Amino acid sequence: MIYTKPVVLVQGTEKMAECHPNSKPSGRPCKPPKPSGR
Amino acid sequence: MFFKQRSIVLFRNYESFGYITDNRNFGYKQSDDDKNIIGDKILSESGAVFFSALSIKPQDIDSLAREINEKFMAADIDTIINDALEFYENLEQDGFVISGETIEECESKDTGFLRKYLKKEIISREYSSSVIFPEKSTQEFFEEYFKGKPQLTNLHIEITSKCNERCIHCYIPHENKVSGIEPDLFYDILRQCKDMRLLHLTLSGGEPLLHQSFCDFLRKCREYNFSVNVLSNLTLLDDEIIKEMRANPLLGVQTSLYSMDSNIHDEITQVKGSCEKTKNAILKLIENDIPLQISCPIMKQNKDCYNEVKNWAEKYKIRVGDDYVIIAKYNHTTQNLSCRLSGNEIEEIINISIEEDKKYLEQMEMEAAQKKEITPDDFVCSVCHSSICIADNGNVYPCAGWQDYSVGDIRKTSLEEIWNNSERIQYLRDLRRKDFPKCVQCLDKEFCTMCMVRNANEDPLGNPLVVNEFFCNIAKINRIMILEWKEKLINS
Repeated sequence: MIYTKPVVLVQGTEKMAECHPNSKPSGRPCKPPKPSGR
Repeated sequence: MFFKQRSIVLFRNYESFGYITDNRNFGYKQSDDDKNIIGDKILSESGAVFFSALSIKPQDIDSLAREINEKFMAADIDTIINDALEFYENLEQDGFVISGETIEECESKDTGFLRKYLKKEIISREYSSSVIFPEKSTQEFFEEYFKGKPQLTNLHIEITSKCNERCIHCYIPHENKVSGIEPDLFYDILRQCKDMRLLHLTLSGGEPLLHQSFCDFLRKCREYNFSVNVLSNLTLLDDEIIKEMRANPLLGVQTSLYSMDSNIHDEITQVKGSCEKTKNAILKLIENDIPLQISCPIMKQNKDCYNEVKNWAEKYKIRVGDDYVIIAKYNHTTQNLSCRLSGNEIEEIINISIEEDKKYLEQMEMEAAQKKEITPDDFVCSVCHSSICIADNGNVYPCAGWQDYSVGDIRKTSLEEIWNNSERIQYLRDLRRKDFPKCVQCLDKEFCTMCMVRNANEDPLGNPLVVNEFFCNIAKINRIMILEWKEKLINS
């Protein structure tokens, strides 16, 4: 592997979602994702 | 100098790049203080090598450099040391890495998740490290890299349908609460998740603590560096489970407490003594610094006393998710909805919230303003875009509440194959807001959050496109309340 200085390419600051897809669905919807699915 | 990966950080190596995040998007919010949010980063190919050299155990810079040097044989060791120091120190400023003059110092700085929030440690919301593409978001990076192909990041596993309570509002038909997942199937799913670089797992039931392999399951999740949330009534919490939960810095628990009055809580769970058990277990988790969120769905039974749960939890700085939304059972029987509040009762609840929290309406208005940006071509929710659910019998569903719509069987087909090729997943994935024409044109749409499972479960035929009028009414109530509030503001 050719050596290159390690860098951060991209970073995100998106705030934590109020609705999580990890809750039991009481009917409170999941956070709609953006197209990448992240 | 010693360095370690912070224990609440998730790292995934994609070889040509690396991805780091904390469990910000997966763990439960501990307080309303947003200052602790770290964020996520895409590391360059060599950055991924430098980060993967780190572990939860502190290592000195010379050993780290030697390990990195094995991947870059032609590179000079002094250059690697200098670059590593700069790289790790930058990541440390944003809370991903920890340094120390000694191993002990390094370890002592890695505070646990809950304690961190209680102490209100400040990590700057503004990133400090330099970045090559500042204009690009991590989301855009992934979209370009995977050419728009959805990546599974969150998996909900219902490890058992058995439950020791019979909550009156539950979306699982009581007669279906009969079986637990085979351990071999669970471990096989976990291996597949690791290969797919999944980030987060939710383990639920039924009551997950009823599964005899529960502790072994948690151990395996920890070994694989998954962020884990456990949804449990905690009535079966014991010392062995607490010990394993404590050992996992990426674990959070969600439990339901309906009332501080045991008669009311027990009336909802239909199990005498359950309130005391859950309350005591909550206190045990607090004592052991295990991250926790209380859920308190508001129903006819507890509408006059749910606030006592909030006040009690506030003393311990535990967040309470209170919510008046109840969905029908997934077999489309609707008896459980008899405990759901009526429109008028919900209006009363909102009025109380407004009185107690002066910013409630401001917040609602802000959320509505954000929803103005949503277009008819946007997705409805995360199901089949980043999340999915597997039940104890191996059936795969869009989400835990939506179990009359199987999108695959993990005993016959791999998770990756189902995720990429299931026709039903493809159908749900292709749905857009414009497929709900009534919603797209609705006056109240900025006060509504669309949810396909609440449509599907309440429709006798299980059609997710049949809009659930009950929630249309709630959205209308919210919009009118905002309008009246604004009118009052103008007049005053």
